[in-house]
Amino acid sequence: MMVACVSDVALGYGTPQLPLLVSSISEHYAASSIVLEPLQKECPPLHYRYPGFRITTIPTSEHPHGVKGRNEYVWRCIEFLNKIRPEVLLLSCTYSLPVLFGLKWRPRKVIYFAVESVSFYGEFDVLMNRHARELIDTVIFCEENRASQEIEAFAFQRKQIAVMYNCSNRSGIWPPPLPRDDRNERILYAGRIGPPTYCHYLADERLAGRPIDLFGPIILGGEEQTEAYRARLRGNVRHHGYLPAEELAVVRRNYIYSIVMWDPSWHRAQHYYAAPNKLFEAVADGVPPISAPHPQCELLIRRYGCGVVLPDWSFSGFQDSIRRSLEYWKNGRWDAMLHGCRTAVEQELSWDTQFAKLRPFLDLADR
Amino acid sequence: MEAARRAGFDTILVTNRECSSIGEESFRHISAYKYPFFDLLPPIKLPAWFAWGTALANRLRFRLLWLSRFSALGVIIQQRTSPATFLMHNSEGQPFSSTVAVVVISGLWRLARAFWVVIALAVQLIMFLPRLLVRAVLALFRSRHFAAARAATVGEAEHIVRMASTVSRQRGYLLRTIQGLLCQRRFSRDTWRVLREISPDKEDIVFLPTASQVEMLGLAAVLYNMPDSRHPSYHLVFRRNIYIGRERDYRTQDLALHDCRRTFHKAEEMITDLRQFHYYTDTDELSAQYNRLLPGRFRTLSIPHTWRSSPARRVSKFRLVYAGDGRKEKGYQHLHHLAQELYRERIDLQLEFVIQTNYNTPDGEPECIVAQSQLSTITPGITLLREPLASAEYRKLVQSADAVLLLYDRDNYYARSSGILVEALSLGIPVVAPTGTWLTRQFLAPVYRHYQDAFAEDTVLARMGGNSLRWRDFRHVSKDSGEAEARLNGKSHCRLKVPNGATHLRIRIEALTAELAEARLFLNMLDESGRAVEPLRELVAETARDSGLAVVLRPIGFGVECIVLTFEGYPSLAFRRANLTIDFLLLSPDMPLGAVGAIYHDESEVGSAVRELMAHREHYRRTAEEFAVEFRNYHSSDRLIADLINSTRGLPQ
Repeated sequence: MMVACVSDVALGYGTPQLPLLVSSISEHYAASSIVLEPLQKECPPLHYRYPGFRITTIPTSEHPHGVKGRNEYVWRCIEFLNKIRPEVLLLSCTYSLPVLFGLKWRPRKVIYFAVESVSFYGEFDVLMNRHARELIDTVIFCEENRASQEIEAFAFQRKQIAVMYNCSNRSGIWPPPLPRDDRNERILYAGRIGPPTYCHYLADERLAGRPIDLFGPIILGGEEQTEAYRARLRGNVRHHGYLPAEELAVVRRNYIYSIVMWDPSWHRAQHYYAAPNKLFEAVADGVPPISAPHPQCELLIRRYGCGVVLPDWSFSGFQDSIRRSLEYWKNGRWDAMLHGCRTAVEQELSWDTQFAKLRPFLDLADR
Repeated sequence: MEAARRAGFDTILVTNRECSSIGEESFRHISAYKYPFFDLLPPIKLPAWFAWGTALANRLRFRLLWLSRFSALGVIIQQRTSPATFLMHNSEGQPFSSTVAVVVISGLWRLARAFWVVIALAVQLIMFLPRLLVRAVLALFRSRHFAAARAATVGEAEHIVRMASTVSRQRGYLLRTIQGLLCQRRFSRDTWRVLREISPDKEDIVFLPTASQVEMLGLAAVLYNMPDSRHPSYHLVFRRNIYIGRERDYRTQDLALHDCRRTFHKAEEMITDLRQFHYYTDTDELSAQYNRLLPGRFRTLSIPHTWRSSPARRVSKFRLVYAGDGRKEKGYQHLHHLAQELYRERIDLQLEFVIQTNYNTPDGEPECIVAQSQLSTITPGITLLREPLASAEYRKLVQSADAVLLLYDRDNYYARSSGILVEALSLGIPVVAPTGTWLTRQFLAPVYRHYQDAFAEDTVLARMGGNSLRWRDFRHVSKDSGEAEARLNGKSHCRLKVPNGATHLRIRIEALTAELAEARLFLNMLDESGRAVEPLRELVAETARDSGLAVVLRPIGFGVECIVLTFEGYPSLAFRRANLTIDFLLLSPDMPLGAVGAIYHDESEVGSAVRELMAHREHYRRTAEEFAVEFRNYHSSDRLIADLINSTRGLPQ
């Protein structure tokens, strides 16, 4: 028996849940697995990290994240899948969903991992998701509000629905949090730095005295704008460039807080209803998040008391929350948050607990 | 029916034809109606071939779009502008045919671009003759010899286009109107047949326990057209809210309800003797809504409870029940958050959570589907009842509860009633319900009495009110201010230091009238450095029936040194800041904080409400049973029948 996955990004970049999903589903069925990934020239292969399954890279004449590149990637994936005919097919994101319409047979289980908001991709994808419902068995969402919207928009009411939070920490494998004395007393921001992530807040001179480290590419148009932005970073706010995920994971554990925020005015469904990997990674590492009031982030932080939630999207709210967070580090409330992170991971926010939500839906149809 | 028999009436139950037997032999049953009643209005269906054709056309359209992007030909056509790049990046095993196709199509594309002028001219020449013909016809049509014909034709065409456009834009509205008319006619026909069969006289009462405008108009038409039918009195109960939200929101909705108002007036015109036609709702707030459309015509009837009380459960585990179908307006989507919160604290060892989880629509509302999927994975101690329950099973479920969850939507249930609340409180079962709704208004009085009387004076650490409270207007909004600050802008606030050891805050506000009034408060709890310890809370404080007093009790969290209370005087002019009193209380953890049931202001507080009921189980059961005595007397079927009789005789209820 075979489990095949069509990935929307090069494996090891982007969605860390995807390789976990493939290996967990394969373990469940005791099947072999194969992952089709696009060739992204800017992303060196990380196949060595995934010895458990076969990875086939599909090259395209144009970049796979452009229109022509995507179309070619899907076409080649269809040809490949029609040869191997896996019993279980996992499609990552609406990006890979068109594959379904070119198959010459019907897999026994089709799992659609709706990790990104469909409307982000445009009108054709919205239309395609409506037509895809008859071909899909199980849909996985990572955010409840987005799930409600897309279930209604694409008439997925009769499908098996699972909402799995974007956790990627496996019990027993993820290292425990560092104790208080080993922390560097600084605040981490990791990720893209640009207008959709409030880069102007981080460069505001009123934050100059705050110990904040930025890791990630600055996406502001050109070299000139990037340099101008770096020049604006004042005092104790420092930019350290881009770090690959593995190295970032090592560095992150030393921090006392991790900032999580997107500007919802850029794309409501995608940004307001954010289900950010960095929130779950931070909690797993015992680094309490300082999060904007994205519904899922706010719900989980308040449920476990494992971080700080901004009162709103304003700069004054952000500044005040940074100040408050540093006070909590001094007055002992930070230790309670660390305990909250541990409790959250034990009870809910781990890969194994989240995958358990999908297990009831993994029965195979006779086709 | 039994109460009517006790009052000396012969009883006849008239139902839809699908209800062939009700298992009761003590009264007559006529299953006469083909009309399915308002929950199951017969939809107007488009012809099957039309629906099939539309679906096929949509599928074809999508297929073409997909093929143009992702098929081999589609991909190759897209490569027409850069064939070399495509050919160079051929993956292993690329068929020779696709290579040839790329080259050919790319070549054709380049030829087409080079010779587009020639191609365009050729097309023009081919089209020349037909265009010449069309121009000649148009010129003739425009000539003065055909002016009259032209005017008529153009006028007709414009009229048809306008009609088509209106129909198309208002298609849904028109279909609903036609549907309503068809239903009305069917109801009229069936009612006429029933009345002919039973031949009622003037002492008789015809009672429609749940009516809508369709039944009202249908019945009015029967009365208008058939003189014999005017003898008995007709009593219709309306249970749906027509306004959303609270009284202050009604004015902006009046215009949208113009059609509804017209419908009521139309029915009134058709009824010769208005004394024979009686309108009711089942709550005072709903009567107020309907009386805005038809002043003075609506009265409030009680909601009869139907179950006999049973002995209280005495088992070790606390049974928490959500009864009723899984609906967003009933708060089903909050249940998995509640379950997660309770089970996080290992309360599953003491708690049994039973959730009725069938949907109200065939597919279910999306939020409820998501919630059910999450609930399915929280296994310890949760029982999900996925199938609809028969009446006896439903009764057994509620009777077995130690508390019933009623997490209803505040806007929809401001005025609407809840049958399950009546049943639960009549049985002496505590409930959990949101503030500012009809539900909590039913047991506000004993809750406020508890807030006032249960806490001895020596628990009051500090009391402030009247002139000792220094009110200031909140004007702290700058361009960097966020939503939290903006909400408080323009309102009055006062800042109070929390005495050492205070565990709770009690706010009492006296209204200027004894009628129902509502105050809005915002509570900010701050630590020693003035930072918020909790999110800003919006509190709704309603006056209890006939008391003119609103009371709010709030816990004071750990680390809170100061509170900022913001008071919104407008739009409810029933309250003044001067009539507000604040007490800081020191309460022991053994002390129950309420009575009869638990009231919450925000969904995040439901968990605390449940824990409160569990911790003081006996107290809440006892107070709920004491409350049930009076409650049952009001919401009894004997009382309802007496009210109907009094209405018929023109007497007050």
